[in-house]
Amino acid sequence: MEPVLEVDVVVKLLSIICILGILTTPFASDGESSLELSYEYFLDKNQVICYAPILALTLSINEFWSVSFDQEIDAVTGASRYAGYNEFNQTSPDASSGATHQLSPLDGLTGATKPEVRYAETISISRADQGRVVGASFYMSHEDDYTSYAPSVNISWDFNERNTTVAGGYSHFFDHYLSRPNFPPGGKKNIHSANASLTQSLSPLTIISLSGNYIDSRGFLGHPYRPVILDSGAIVDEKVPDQKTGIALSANIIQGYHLFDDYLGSINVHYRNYQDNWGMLSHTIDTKWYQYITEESYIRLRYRYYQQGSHDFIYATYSEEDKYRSADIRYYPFSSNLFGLKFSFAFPDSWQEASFLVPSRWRYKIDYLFRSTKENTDLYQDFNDRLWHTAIDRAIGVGDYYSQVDMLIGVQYDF
Amino acid sequence: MLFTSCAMVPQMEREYLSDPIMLPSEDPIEALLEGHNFPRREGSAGGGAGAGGGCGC
Repeated sequence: MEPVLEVDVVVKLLSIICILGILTTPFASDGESSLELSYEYFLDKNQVICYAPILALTLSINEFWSVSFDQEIDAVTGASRYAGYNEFNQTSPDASSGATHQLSPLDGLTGATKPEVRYAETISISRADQGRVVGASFYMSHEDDYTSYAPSVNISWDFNERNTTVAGGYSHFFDHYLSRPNFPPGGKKNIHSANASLTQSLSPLTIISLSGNYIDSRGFLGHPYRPVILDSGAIVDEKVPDQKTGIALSANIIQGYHLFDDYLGSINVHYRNYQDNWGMLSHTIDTKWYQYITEESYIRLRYRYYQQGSHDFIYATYSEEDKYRSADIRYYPFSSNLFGLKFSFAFPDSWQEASFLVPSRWRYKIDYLFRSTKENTDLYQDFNDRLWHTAIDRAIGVGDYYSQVDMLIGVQYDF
Repeated sequence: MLFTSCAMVPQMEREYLSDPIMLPSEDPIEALLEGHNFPRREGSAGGGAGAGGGCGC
């Protein structure tokens, strides 16, 4: 397997960290600035691995203004190119030329085969004054077949003696699937995303929040690497509508309590409902239990349940006459269960005083996700006795299951 | 008027409400990954932010 993160990428990342460390020195005065270094490691049932080193720097310029910079490098061992193969170094015929390739392992869900890296940066600036916050940011990401640029604005306003917070935001994504040899041309898509939320304190230990998110996507909304097998046996490109509107509504309640020598704990319950004009309806219930075990260190247990239906144009088989067709796993019904454990520990002040290399805090998180598709087997495309049967059957977990482990470790320096 | 009637937590009693574990998401980096990478890895169409920012392929 070829390395996903090459040496020059690691060197560049370390250089950025060193330069930022030097640049941040003049700001190390008011105690509001921080530098976080994190590393995400993901492994799924089909041996696909993702690495994501992340750097997040926040600088407080003065009592009102702050700026931040985030850098994420997301590397996956199997990005989508040739769906239908599941073995390392399996030989496959080229769709157009008949030549053969040596392939990498498949991504468990996407049928992916090619190592790929996404570089993403976000720069932000915000002004906060008496509970009123205004901010703007710019996101950009780059892959060898995809680019994205997104300006965003957000505003937050506390009132009612700061017991009530109203917030809103808007982002416009300019995304582009770049054309690749031997694959259908991609295309551009524009995404408008607007959100609003209302948060209310009900007691010294109770907070509720309601929020909504409106997402309008237009342009090339499909996927160039997921062809469809018709009932005639022909392999054709995916076709989906070029406009999608989705609305997500969320409710969140957080209840704190005191236990164990008065250490604070909390229960966080979050429900999210999503639906769109392609016929998708999904429900998410996310519960988190926090408990401080020292003055500044806490643990978290998490359980999340997710369930979704299918898009209107999803069928077990397609014919030439069907206007829309897709074999994208994301459009089919399934449910998932996530179990998580997290530690967030603060280092003693004496350790930090001994060396500037000792961070203020370190975090470790591990999530295990179990994804079941067994109850929806009949809705998947009929790949029996077809070229891609084995791989797709394995990838989407028909008659079986899919699982993944996601770990995140990070340190935070406050200065 | 509705919100005004909810003004029941004086400033001096708001100590715990600003604690990280009383926030909807206490870890910005984790929230970033949850919104962007997680839905693609889970393979869901409605479980995340739903916006762009990468092909997830």
